[in-house]
Amino acid sequence: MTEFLKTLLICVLTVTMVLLTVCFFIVTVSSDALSPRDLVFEATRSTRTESNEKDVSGTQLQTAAFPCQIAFFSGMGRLYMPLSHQEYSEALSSTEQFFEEAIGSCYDYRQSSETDYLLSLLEQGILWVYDYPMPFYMLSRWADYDYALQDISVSSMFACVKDSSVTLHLKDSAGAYHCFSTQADGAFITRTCATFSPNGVISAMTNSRNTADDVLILSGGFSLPCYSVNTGYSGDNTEISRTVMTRLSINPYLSSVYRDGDTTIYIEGSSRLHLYADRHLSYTVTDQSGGIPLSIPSDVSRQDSLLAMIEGVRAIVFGLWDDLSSDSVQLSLTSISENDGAYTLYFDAYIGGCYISRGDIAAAAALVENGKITSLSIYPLSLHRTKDSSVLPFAQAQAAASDKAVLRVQYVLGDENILVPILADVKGGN
Amino acid sequence: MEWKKAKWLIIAMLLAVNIVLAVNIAYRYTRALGAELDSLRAAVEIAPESYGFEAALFEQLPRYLYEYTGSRDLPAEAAVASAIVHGECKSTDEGGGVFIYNSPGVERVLFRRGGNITGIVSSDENIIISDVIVAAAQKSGLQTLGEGDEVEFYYDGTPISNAYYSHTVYGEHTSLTGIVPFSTGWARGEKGRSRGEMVLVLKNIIEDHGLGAIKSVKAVYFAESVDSKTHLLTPAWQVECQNGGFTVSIMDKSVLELSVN
Repeated sequence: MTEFLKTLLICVLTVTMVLLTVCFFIVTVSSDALSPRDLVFEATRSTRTESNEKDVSGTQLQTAAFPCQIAFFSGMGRLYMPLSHQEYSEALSSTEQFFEEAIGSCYDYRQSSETDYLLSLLEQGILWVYDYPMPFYMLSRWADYDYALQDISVSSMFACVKDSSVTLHLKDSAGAYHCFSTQADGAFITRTCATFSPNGVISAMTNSRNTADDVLILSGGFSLPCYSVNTGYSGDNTEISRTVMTRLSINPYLSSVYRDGDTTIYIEGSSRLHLYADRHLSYTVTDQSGGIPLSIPSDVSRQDSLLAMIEGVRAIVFGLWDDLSSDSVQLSLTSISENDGAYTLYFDAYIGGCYISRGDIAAAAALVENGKITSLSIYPLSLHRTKDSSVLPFAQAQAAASDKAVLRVQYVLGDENILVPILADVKGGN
Repeated sequence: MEWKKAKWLIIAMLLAVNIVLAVNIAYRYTRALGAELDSLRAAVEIAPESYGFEAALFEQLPRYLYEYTGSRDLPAEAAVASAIVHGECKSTDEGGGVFIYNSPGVERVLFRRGGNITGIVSSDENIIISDVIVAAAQKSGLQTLGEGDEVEFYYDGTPISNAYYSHTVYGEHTSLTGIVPFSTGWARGEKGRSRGEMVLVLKNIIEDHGLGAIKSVKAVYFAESVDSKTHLLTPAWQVECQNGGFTVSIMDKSVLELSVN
């Protein structure tokens, strides 16, 4: 009996030692003062939350493209458009789910006209404008809904409320207009638009000498911040390269490392990762056996397979971008091209909805062949806010612009690596 | 005989190791606790005195809060609708996370993502709608305090600041609105930011919006949604100031609610 008790005690003490050792490591690694309950939670996180996260996340695809302009119309054409990065981020996060609800619950499709669209801008509503038109089926699937409306690429959408019902007006890339009834929350529009006061932005239909009618223009002089662009990594970039390699399925401990001037090259199997001193990253494979496999189901429609591919690329590219760039800079999917079954996805960088122009260089580009990413390049941006700069007054920009210009604020790289805001005509794309 | 002695030796060694580990953990925990408090006090000292920042205001708040996600409980929503709608209750999935429950008459209850409820039902003395909602909320792991339109919802002892239920009787009909996230269970997610870091966030928000001196701060959860099928309880601080108030997320520091007098 005594021997049995001794054995039992040894077992209990051994288990206690293991638990205490785990807690000891958590307390040592974490600088936070976790409560005993939280300590136990952290110790068992890997075994518990995995299953919970799978339960709740479902299979909803994440949005890969964002609007470049958001505006809140409070009626009779009065409107507020966020201008700074912070205002834009808040507006985006507060309206994103509303538009998902509106797109997801749309019904009663009908064709509309420019007049109807412009008249709707006099109601209370929220406008989203895309720099590059987005196929409606993508917007619909990102809203976790599958609406069979083919061949419409949405360049702007306006959700307005009338008699507490929400109507979604769409303008497509061909200049045609479409309209839906929705079950979205009309009270959200009323409540949200009431919180914003007009801030000097007007719809061009009130001043449309040579500007497209539904373009939002900044009526007065205004200033936006400039940003200095950090080139190169500060300090040791070993940690950065490990994170990057893990995302690209390269084992940091098994890869060979070479240096070519300021460039560090990592090689594992057929994968090549170049980390340049100017923060540029390039991933390539030397043969078709390599590449980062994407989870693309084979027995689905072309649209679904394309969406699965975008989701796979988005997760990797956005993850790398977050690792290497400033919080304030946002990536957005701008185009997809296909050549012999190989797809190239381009992403551009935006700050506060304003496109950051760096010549012909896309902020990120990925080549997908046979369900695998075989080439990837990223030009991250690490920005530091500097002084404010006045943007060319609209009247002057309008005088210099072409007929029916689409004038928007963009950032261009000026002297001394400073990003400066300017008004540019984006009628033909950036 | 030798093996029996060895067992005592093993027990003694294990005891010693456990004691050393326990003492070490206790020491490190106490030190971390002190460091967290020091960083909070240091952050309070940086803030201008005119904003009324006092360490005592923040020391009473939980050191850390976690965010929670929960799968939306559609059967619970259907059960609530069936209990308050008279006659046969038909449901429609409108897409975008909108579910409508209709009776053959004009009764209609609508559930949206994030626990948003609106509806109009026939007035009936035998059905106390708030009791139906409270019972469903309690099944979802929420706690409640009070009754009727005064009911407050809590999770893990912390109030959910935007959760509410309210109704208005218009003769034969009653309209109802509310935010109550019915969930099949709650999964703990990431840990929120430290109190010291949040004090600096508060200072910036008060400066940006000219809200004046702080009157009170309390820790709350804010009911939101991750997508149409998933609820999110975001830990936040609800701050009352001289010229208004705001609720700020302690996850991503975003302002969730703002009112300026």
